[in-house]
Amino acid sequence: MKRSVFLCQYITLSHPIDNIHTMTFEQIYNKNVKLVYNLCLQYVHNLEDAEEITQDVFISVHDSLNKFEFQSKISTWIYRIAINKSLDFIKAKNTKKRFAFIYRLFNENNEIQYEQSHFEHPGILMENKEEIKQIFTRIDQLPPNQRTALILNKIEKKSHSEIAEIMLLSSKAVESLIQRGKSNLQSKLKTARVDPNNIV
Amino acid sequence: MNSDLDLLSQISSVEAPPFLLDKISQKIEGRKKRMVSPKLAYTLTVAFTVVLAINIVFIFRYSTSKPNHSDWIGSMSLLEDHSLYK
Repeated sequence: MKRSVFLCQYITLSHPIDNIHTMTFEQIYNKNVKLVYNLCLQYVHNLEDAEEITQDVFISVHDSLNKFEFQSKISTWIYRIAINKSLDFIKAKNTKKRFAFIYRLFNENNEIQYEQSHFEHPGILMENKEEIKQIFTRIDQLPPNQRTALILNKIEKKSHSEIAEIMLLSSKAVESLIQRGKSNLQSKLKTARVDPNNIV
Repeated sequence: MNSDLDLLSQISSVEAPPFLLDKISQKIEGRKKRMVSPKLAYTLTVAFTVVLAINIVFIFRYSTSKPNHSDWIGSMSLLEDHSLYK
């Protein structure tokens, strides 16, 4: 019997564990929730948003477990889902922000419904908060691939080969992405330090 | 630059909020309840198609044809080529 089929028979919330291929959804959740939540937090820097994306990630995991073909580790697959969900969430939020004036036209109170999420990252020490906020503002302006590579390498402390597996790229491509990300970030930070109001 | 990236590596990982699994389970259960069963969806589609087909058949078979132009002129006792308008 195909292992994925075997696995999906056990994807309920309460079945016991036999081995790695018969993990229950709850066990998969317990094993990976911390990494997913933290990864989402690095993208959105906000507790509420990170929680929302984490929920979406595990709902997708629950729905797609029977399609998982064991070609990679389950945590790698979950990482991939978390990255895609986080990027989609940011894209959707930016679209909402862009069209906020239209919502305003049709809103009786004439108020903009979209609210910018505030920076709220519990993993950052108070004394570093402002500086890291500035760095994250610049990281958010990088292309998604470079941003992902930098987050995985510098914050999640993943090796190049692990990142390559998660991003479905070669190690060389990852190395080049990280280098380009670093130099882009450097120039953005330099511009920001010369002119703090410049956020482009 | 390296000091900036060093700052990033100082970010510590945090615990996920409690009861998140309960919320996820509730969402999954809620979605299952809201979902229309494939059987019902199939039945509704077939019923809709049948009603639509009956309507089309009735429109083409029983719709009254337009009256012939010369019949209409004759019934109104009109002249088809009135010299007044020539």
